[in-house]
Amino acid sequence: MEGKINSVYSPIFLLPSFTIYLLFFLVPTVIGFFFSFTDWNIHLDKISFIGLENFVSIFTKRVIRLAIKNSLQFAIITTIGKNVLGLVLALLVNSAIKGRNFFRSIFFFPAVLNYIIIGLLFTYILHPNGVLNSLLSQFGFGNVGISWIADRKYVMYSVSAVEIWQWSGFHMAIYLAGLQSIPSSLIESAQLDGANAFQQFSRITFPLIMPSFNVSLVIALISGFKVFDLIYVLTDGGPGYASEVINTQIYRTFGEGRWGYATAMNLLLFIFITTISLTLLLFLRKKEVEH
Amino acid sequence: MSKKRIKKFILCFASILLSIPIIIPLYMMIVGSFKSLVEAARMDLKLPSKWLFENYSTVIIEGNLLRAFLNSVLIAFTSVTIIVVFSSLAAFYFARNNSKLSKYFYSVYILGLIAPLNIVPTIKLMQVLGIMGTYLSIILLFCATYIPLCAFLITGFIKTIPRELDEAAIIDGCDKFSVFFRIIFPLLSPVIATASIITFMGVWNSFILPLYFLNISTKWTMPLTVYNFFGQYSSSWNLVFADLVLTALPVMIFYIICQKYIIKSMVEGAVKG
Repeated sequence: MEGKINSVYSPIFLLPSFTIYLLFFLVPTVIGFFFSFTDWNIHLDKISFIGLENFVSIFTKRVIRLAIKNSLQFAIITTIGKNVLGLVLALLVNSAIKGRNFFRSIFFFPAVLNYIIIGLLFTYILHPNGVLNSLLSQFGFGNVGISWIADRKYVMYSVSAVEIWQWSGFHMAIYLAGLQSIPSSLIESAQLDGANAFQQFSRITFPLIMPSFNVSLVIALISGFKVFDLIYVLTDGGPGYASEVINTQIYRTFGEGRWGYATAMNLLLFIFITTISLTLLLFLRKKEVEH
Repeated sequence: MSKKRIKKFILCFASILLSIPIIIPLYMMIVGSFKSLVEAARMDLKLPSKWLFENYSTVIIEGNLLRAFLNSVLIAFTSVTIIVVFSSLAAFYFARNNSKLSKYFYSVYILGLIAPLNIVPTIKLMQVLGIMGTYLSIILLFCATYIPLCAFLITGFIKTIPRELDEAAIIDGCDKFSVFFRIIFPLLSPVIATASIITFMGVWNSFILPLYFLNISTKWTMPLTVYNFFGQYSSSWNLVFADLVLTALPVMIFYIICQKYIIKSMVEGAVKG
């Protein structure tokens, strides 16, 4: 009987999904690994092995170094922004205010829109004569006239702000799930013991939502490194190369037909994201507490 | 008591304040879509002097939106169906079979949760297979990207279903496929709803994959079409807004009807993934 039962759980159930996953994820990943050491491009009939040349060039070319720096900066700024704002929003809508369900839906809403809608709306808002500047001047900042996305001084901050705008509500929902799992008896007993609001948060609430914090952090970092759509629509890497990130560089190199090179960059991004998220997950898991 | 009231008032006020930055862009988009070309170019938040409903008819015809909508529907629904069924099958194996082989494959699937797709070799592979630019290519691609997440979610769920159910069915003479399709699969509806919503939202809103893989404009999905429309009409903000409203509409309706499930699913997908 035992044998019969085990034979029911046959690997045949894996077959359909694994075929697709193998063919369209694993195989390209492995092929990509090999091709990133070649000069594979549109102009050559023959592909030849060139060792680490692509990688050396990636780390020495100024534009790509800028793209890597921008990706890092974007990932860090947006991770901080989304998490701080997400947590604040979660605490707000978790309190006993009127209409909290309404606010919850409003805050979350941008997360269901696609990047093209958001990118185009903010192209209009962040225009030098746009809504943001006119609101700023109405509130007495004078005629600012800043071109938020066409000025290299501001562009990375502006795109980061838009990303934070879109995803804070999503991170709010992650934190909210954590907050709602805290037994109210814990908070009540802390109040009875005379803990003030800050102590309640730092000693009880925050340690207990650590798992949500970890997840939220890792998700924000990964999506920060993977950013493409928003920058493609808002700035297309401009002005000049001021807002180039890794994925826009990959797209550009692909468009130029330098496939080996694009693949090498993709491989780097792969290693980058996998290492960072795995280390972070392992490191953060250790710090979680049970209740 | 009054101190509590003041606190509540402050919190409520803060919530209103924080929702303004979300409401303004949406208001601007909707109001802007009824303006004339000149009024929309002024980039202010005023109401239109005359509400031009014909902006919408212009956009539907010029923007190819109906075609794009149908493409999106076709791609999203086919992908979601395949993903959900195939992932459930895989999850059944992962959740029930404790062999080394099963654990090994499971970790291979986990890799797909984090790692980004390597696009260039994938395109070349599609060309070799002769399916580059077809609906099939993009559907398979969405499957490859979402199967790991869904298999992972569903595995967690199947683990909570008692094994005794399967065993009883086996004793009653069910073969392996009927154990899955008649006993397990009908019990999966909550997690399948979650997986479908996550996948649907991801596929519906995806821009980068259709951009690389759908090179023929008749197959474009809504995000690509709207981006292309902006390229042609970038100075007619009134039309661009009308196009954006129509693009956002399906998701907005979906969100209004089942926002609770959408929020819950997206969070679950994130937390468990």
